[in-house]
Amino acid sequence: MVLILLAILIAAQVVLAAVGSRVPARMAQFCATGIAAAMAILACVSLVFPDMESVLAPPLRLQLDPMGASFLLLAGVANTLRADSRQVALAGTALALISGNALMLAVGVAAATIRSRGASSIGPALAIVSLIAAFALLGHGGDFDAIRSAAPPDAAQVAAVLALTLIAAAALLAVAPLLAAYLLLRVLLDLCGPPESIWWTLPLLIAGAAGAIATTLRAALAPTLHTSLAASVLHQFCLAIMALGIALLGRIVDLPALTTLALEAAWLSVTCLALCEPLFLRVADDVEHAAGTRRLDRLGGLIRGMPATSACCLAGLFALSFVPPGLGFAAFWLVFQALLTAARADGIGLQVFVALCAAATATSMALATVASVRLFGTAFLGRPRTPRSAVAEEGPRPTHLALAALAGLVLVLGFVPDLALLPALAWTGGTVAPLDLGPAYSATVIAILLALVGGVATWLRRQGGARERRREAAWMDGFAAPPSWLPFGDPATQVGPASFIEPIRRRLPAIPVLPLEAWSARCRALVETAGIILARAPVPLTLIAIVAAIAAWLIAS
Amino acid sequence: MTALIGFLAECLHIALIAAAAPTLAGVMAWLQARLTGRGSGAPIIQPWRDLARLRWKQPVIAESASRLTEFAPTAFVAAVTIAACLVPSFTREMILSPFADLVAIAGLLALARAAQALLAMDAGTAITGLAASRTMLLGCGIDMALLLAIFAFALTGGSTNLDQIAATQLDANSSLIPAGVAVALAGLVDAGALRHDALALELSGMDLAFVEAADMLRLLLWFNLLGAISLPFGMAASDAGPAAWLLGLASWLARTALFALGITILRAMQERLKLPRAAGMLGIAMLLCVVAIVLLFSTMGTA
Repeated sequence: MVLILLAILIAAQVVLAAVGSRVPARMAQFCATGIAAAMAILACVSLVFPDMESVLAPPLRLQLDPMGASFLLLAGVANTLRADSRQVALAGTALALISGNALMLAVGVAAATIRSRGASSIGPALAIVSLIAAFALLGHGGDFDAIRSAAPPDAAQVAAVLALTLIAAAALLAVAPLLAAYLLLRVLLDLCGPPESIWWTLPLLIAGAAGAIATTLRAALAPTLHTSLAASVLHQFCLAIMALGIALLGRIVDLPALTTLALEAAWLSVTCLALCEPLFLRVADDVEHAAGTRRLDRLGGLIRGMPATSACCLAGLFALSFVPPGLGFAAFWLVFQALLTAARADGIGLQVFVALCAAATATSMALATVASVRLFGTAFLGRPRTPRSAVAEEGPRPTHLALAALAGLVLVLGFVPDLALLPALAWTGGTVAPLDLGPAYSATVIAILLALVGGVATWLRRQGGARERRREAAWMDGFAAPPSWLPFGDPATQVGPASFIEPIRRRLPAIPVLPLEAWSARCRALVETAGIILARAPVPLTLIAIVAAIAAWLIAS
Repeated sequence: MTALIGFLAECLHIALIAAAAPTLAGVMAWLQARLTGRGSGAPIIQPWRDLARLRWKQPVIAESASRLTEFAPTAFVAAVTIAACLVPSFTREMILSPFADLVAIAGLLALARAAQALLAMDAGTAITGLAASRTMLLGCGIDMALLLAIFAFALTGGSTNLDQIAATQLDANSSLIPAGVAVALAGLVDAGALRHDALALELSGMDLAFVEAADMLRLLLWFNLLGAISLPFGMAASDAGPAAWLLGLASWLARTALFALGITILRAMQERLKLPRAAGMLGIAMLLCVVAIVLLFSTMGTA
C-alpha cells in the first residue's frame, strides 16, 4: 500500500517536472514541497508498520525495507525544507531508495543525477556503469531478494564488487551524496552477506581515513565559500565510510555490539550530511547572490547585513565541528568508541591500523573545527573586504524560514542524538533507552548545562558597570588611517582566509613532486576532452551508458 | 542517599574550584615574583581585586563589532565552567560524573577555543585576528594530542569516562606515562600558562572580567584533569563518605601545589613560549601518545 502510494508520488513528481515550465513557479514549488513531505510521512508509516512486500513483476521491482525507509525519510525531510527542491532529483532518489532490483536502482540513480547543475555527466555515467557491473558480478539478475537468499559470493567477486561500489559512490559523491551513502550500505552491508576476511574492510577504512583528512584540509585551505562548505559536508561522508568499515569488521570478529555502534555512527554522519548539504548550498548561493562573489577574500562582515543567514550557517558549522553538543560531535564520539572497541578485537597488525584510523579521525575533526572558524570568521565576521559585501542583504523571506527550519533541525538532533537514531533502529540493531544514565556522552545533559550556565553568565554580565555598553572606534594597531574611499578601513589590515590558515599550511608536509607532470597534463587533457563531449550531450550519452550496462548485465546473468 | 552525597560533593567541588582559580593565579604570580627576584610580589588576592575592579567599569565595544561580541564570551565562559565542573578534584563519583566523558571534555575545551577565536575575529583588528589564527593552529594540535592520549587511557580504562579512568589509574600502568606527559604538554599550551595570545584586546569591563576568570579556571581545570588521569592518589570515592573527603582535599592541595610550582619554575626560566616551540611541543605530545599506544598494544592481549 505504502509502496503504491510512493510510486504514485514519484510519478506525480515526474509529471510535475515535465509540466513545470507551464504552471506558476510558486504553485510548482508548493506541489514539490508537498510531495516531498508526503514521501517523508510515508517513510515514517513504513518504519512504524514495516512490511516487506514487493510490487511489480521481476524486471521492475519495488521494495521498501527499513534501511530504504530511513533514507527516504531523510531525503523527504531535507527536500521539504529546502526551498528549491529539484523534482526529478527527488523522484530519482526515491525510486532508487525503494528499488528492489538493480535495474530500478540504476534508473533511479540516473534520474537522480540527470541535469544536476554545474556537474559534468561523467560521474553519474561512471556510477551507473560500475553499479551495473557490480550487480552483474553478484548475479541472480540483480534481484535483491535472490542475492540475499543465495550463497555468499566468493572472495574475488566480493573484492571486485567492493571496488566497483566504491567507484560508484565516489562518482556520485559530488551530485548525490545521500544516494552514494545508501549504495555503499545497501551493497556492502546488506547484499554482499557476511564478509570472511578482515582485509576486505581495510579499503573502506583507508578510504574513510584518507578522505576525512583530505576533505577537511580542503575545507581549511579552500579559497571560496562553496568549496569550503562542500568539503566540510563531505567530511561526514568519509566518517560514514569509516564507520561502515568498522561495522563490517564487527561482523567478521563476531562482535554485534561493535557493529551496532559503528552503524549508529554511520547513520548519524549520514543524517548530518543529508541535512547540512541543502543548508550550506542555500547559504552559499544566498551569499553569492547578495555579495556578488564566492571568494572568501572578497567577503567579510556579512553578519551585519545577513544576520539570519549567518546564524543558520553558524548552526550548520557547529554541527560539523568538534564541539559538543553538535550532531557531528555525536557521530565522531560513536566512531571513536567503535574504534576503541575494535582496537581490542584482533592481532597487533589490526590494532595498530585501528589506532592510525583513530589518529586520522582525530586530525580530521580538529581540522574541521579550524575550517569552520576560518570560514565563519572571515566571511561573516570582521570588516567587509569589498563595498559589495558591505551592502549585502538577506534574500527573500521564504528561504529564511526553510534555512531556519533546517538549521533548527540540525541543532535539535545534535542536542538529542537518540532522536536522530530512531529511524535507523531496525537495521543498526540498536536500542534507545528512554533515560540512560550510564557513563557516556550525553548531549542533552551538556546542552542543558550549557544553557543553564550561559543563562546565569548572561545575567551576571549585565550587572555592575555593564548595564550600558559604550561603542568606540577600534584601535587599529597603529596602521595609517585609511583613505576616505575605504569607509570600513583597509581590508588588508585584518586577517584574511589565506593568512588565517598560513601557520597550518606552512607546517603541512611537502608532498613529493613525482616526475609525472607531463603525464598528468596529458591525462587531464584527455579527461577534459571527454568531459566536454559528455557535457554537450548528457542525456543521450547517459541513456546509451544505461543501455550498454543493461546489455552487459543480461549477458552476464 | 548516594545521589545526595554526589550532589553535595558536586556543590563542594564547584565552590572549591570557584574559590581556588583566582587564588591560584595570585599564588603563582606571587611565587614567580619571588623566584625571579622582583621584590615581594603582589598580594595573593590581587586577581580577586582586579576582577572586582573590572566589574564596575563600563564595557567599551568596538564600532566594527557585531552581535557575536554579546554571545561569544558567554559561550566561552559556559564551556570552560562546565568542563571544570565535570573534572573531579578531591572526590570521584560526583553527581555529574557519569557525564564526565573525556572526549566531551576535550570537545568543550575546543568549543571554548572556537568561541575565543571567533570573538577575536569579530572586530576585524589585525592583532586579535593573528592571535585567533595561532590559537586555532595550536588548538588543532591540542585536540589531536589529547584525543590520542584519551585513546591510550581508554584502552586500559575500558571507557572514555574520566571517573572510571581515574579509578583504574590507581594501579598505575607504566605504559601510560608517555600519555600522561602528552596531556601535560597539551595542557601547558592550552591553558596559556606559558604563552598568552592577545585574544581579548577588544574586551573591557565585565566582559573582560568574565573571560579572565574563565582563563584562570581553565588552568585549574587542566591541573585537575592531569591529576585525575595521572596522579589520582588519595582521591575519595563516594562510599568512603565525607571523612575521606578531607584526605582527598589534602591530596588535591598537594597535587595543585606541585603543578603550580612546576609551571612557575618553567615561567621563571622562560617567560614566553614562542609559536614554533609550542607547535613542536604538541608534536612531541602526539609522538608520546603513539609510543604509549604501541606499548599498550604490545603488553595487552586481545579480547
